[in-house]
Amino acid sequence: MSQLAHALESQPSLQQQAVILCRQQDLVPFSGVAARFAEYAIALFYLPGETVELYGLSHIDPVTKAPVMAHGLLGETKGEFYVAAPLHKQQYRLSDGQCLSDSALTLQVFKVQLLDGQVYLLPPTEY
Amino acid sequence: MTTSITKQLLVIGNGMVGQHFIEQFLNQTETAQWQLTVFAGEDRPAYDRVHLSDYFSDGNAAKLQLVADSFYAENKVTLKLDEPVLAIDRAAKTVTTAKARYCYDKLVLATGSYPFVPPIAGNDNQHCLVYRTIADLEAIRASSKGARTGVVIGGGLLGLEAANALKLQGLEAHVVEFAPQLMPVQLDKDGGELLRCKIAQLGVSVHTDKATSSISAGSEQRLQLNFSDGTVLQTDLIVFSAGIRPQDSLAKDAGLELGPRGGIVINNQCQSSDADIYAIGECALWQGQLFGLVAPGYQMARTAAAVLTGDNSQSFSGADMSTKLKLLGVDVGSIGDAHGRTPGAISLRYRNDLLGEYRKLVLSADGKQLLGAVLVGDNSYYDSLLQYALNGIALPADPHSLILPQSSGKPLLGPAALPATATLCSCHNVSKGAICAALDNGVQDLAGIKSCTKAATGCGGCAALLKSVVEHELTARGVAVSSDLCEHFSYSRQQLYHLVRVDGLKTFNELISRHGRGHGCEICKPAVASILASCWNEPVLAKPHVALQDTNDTFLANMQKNGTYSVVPRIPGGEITPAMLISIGQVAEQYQLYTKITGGQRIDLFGATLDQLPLIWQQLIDAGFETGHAYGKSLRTVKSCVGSTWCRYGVQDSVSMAILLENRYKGVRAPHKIKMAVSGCTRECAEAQSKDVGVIATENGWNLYVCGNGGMKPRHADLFATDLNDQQLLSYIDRLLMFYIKTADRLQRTATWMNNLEGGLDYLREVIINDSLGLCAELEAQMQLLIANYQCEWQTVLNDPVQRARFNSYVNAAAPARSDFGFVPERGQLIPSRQLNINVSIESKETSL
Repeated sequence: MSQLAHALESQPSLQQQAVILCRQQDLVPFSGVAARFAEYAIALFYLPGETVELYGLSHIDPVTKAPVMAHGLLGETKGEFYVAAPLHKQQYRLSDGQCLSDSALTLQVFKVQLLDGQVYLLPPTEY
Repeated sequence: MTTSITKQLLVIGNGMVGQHFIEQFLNQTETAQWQLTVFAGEDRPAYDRVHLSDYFSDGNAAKLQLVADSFYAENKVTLKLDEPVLAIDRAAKTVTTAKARYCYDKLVLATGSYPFVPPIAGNDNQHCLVYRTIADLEAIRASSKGARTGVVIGGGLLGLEAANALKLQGLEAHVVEFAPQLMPVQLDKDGGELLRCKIAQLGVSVHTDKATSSISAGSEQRLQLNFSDGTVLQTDLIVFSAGIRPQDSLAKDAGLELGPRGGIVINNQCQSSDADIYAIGECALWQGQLFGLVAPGYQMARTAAAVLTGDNSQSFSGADMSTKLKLLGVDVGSIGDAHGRTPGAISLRYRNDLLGEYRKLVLSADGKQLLGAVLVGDNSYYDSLLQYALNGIALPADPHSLILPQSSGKPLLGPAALPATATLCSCHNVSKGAICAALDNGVQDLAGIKSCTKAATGCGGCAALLKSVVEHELTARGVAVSSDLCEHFSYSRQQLYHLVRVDGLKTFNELISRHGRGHGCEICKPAVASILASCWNEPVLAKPHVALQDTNDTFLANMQKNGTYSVVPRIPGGEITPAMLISIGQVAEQYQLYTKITGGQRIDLFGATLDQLPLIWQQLIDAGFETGHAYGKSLRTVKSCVGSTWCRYGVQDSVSMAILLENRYKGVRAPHKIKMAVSGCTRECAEAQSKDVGVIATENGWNLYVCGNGGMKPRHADLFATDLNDQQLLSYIDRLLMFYIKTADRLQRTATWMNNLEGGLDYLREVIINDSLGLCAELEAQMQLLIANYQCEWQTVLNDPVQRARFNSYVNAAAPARSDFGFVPERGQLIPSRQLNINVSIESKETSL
């Protein structure tokens, strides 16, 4: 169970703060879709069957500022998953948003969780 | 007192060679006992005479200076500027200047040379000048004031440099040469002739075969040259550049041995007839030979510096006088025995007056060794040829391939044949030896070589050669050069293709679980997706394949820099009805798409958002269009001219053939994009020879050209087969494409693929035409399967609600307004604004639960 899932179950106050972003069936397995929350555009990457099945990262490419990250290809190296930016192919680690080829680049990480067929987000303002 | 053991080393002359001597001397280990004093005749420290005319282009003498003013003090070298040595007393071991007398233990003469001014009556006029020093340039500049025309007497290397200097002064420049051609020392007749044409085109008038008998006052201009043939030429100033003479008068007065026509005689240690006096550079005569280039002078400087400090391992053993330079912007190269004076020498020539290129090889009588070469117009051949000549490398069986235009695809020197001295990267002057040394020091791959030697990081032109050298050397060192696709598959693309076909695998998951490991990456996923499509041609967006596709394939459109997409409908052969054209216009207008005609004779519509793509395509498909696969590694377009239908020159119906080909191969996925063209006659208006597959009409049918491309490294296609009928043409292209799909590397275009095939074009002919592998029936059958399974991918998407849902920008929100992507008007259309103004937060925060 992820930290967020645990937090959601153990802290009723958080459960109230978490919002439903979309349905699980909106996700595309082993690929990404984009969702909006307030002013944020969030790329949701779905890896069914993996330890962590869902990742939420900024949909905005830090280099071009274009909203495209959800459309990048997912890759794996030495057991770690990353997304390759579609325009210039930089790789960003899904777990923390760190760019693997340029330490100055990161993607904002969002706390997301699959629960009962829904995708939950803990809004960034609550962190 | 330490002075008792200090020895005096005096250097006369602070030119380029004299300066190089100082630096080489300071680099030696045994220098502590020496006190170094340098006498310069000029009032400035050493400067770069090779780039003297730069002084006129930027007027900055300081930039020519070889070292900073502080260099001498920092290295405890005494520099006596403007203090020429007047005499040497060998018995007393002293030199005398106008200011003082100095003792020496050892003396180095680096006095250089002076310009030869022919004994022509009137040559002492104040507007008769020479071109060697900065003072000379200042005199030329002064004389140019109020002048219109300048003449250089002498059409050699320096004369042409001087002509360039006059041109830079804004003068109308003339070159007068006594010999029948320019640069008679370095070039042969044809080379000289071509150089003359090219220089004339640059506005320099060239007069060859002209002997100047006198110089008198001019009527229209300051001076008049009177030639021995009775003709005259008026000018405002004259620069003599009729050769150089060694500056040996000091040596002569001191009784040192000189050559019959001047020059201080030296031995292999650069010592003159007095062992305590050395001579280096243009003043020195070695085995009857003077060296008027800077490189041999530097070699002498290195030798003298070593010998003086007790290192007798160094000796001067002559120098290669090959030269490569740009004169007035024209490439000129001369290597070794350029005139073919070696007994029995034979020559091979390539002369192209259209392109203004000339190349000659001088070969030994048996055709196996390169003795010399002449290049005019394109020096890119120089490095390779110099390696052959200097290192005595055996020539290939067809040495003419070395000077034919490189688009003929013949390899230059292969990685194994290159000597260690071969320069691979001319931008950063990296030799093969330096690459090998880096590998020996533990660098393990191409990326490491690039970062440690800088090779291939300049213009990048040597990247392919560098890669082959590194791979060759790594293999030679027993390091396995991996052809693995990526960390998930220990197979090359060709091997994976084979596995997919033999095992009948239909999905990535089947392949990776059976033959790979891990979860895949952005390298192997699209490569496998392409292989699967090439084998079975299932829709690329079918469920098992959708997560494998590159972004452009995922959305069947081309992502542009601001995150919007471009749309390219197929227009087979570039033929389109007015009604279809109007419907494209209507769609573009409705969605405000930036519209541009492509190089492939179709129309690209830019700026569509993801959500708009299905709407746009519904309209295009309703109007009768299909997807153009501009996003795929697949057939792009078949370009055509109007052919015999309209053109008075056309001999076949090129448009019909182009449409036939485009419809036949559309949607076929390949290792890389494929472009084709069909021309209706030999005039080749469709530019078929720049395509992967080019078809050119003949009276009797079609000529087939293969493996060309444009782009970063253009390559002309090779003629593959001639006078084919329609059926032969199609079956050859079927086989060729399938063989390419079967055997090429990932992202390897046909040109590179063929170059890497053992046996190249001839082998390909054997396989495709003569069926040497017995594969042709299978290749044709596979192509038939792909053709039969074709469907318009956009039609498929529009018919499937699940696939269509992929085109929603957000799963939980309305489509973004197009204005969110930031557009600005330009020339009546919308283009991306420079600053993206997206209505979402882009700030990045460090967060943790």
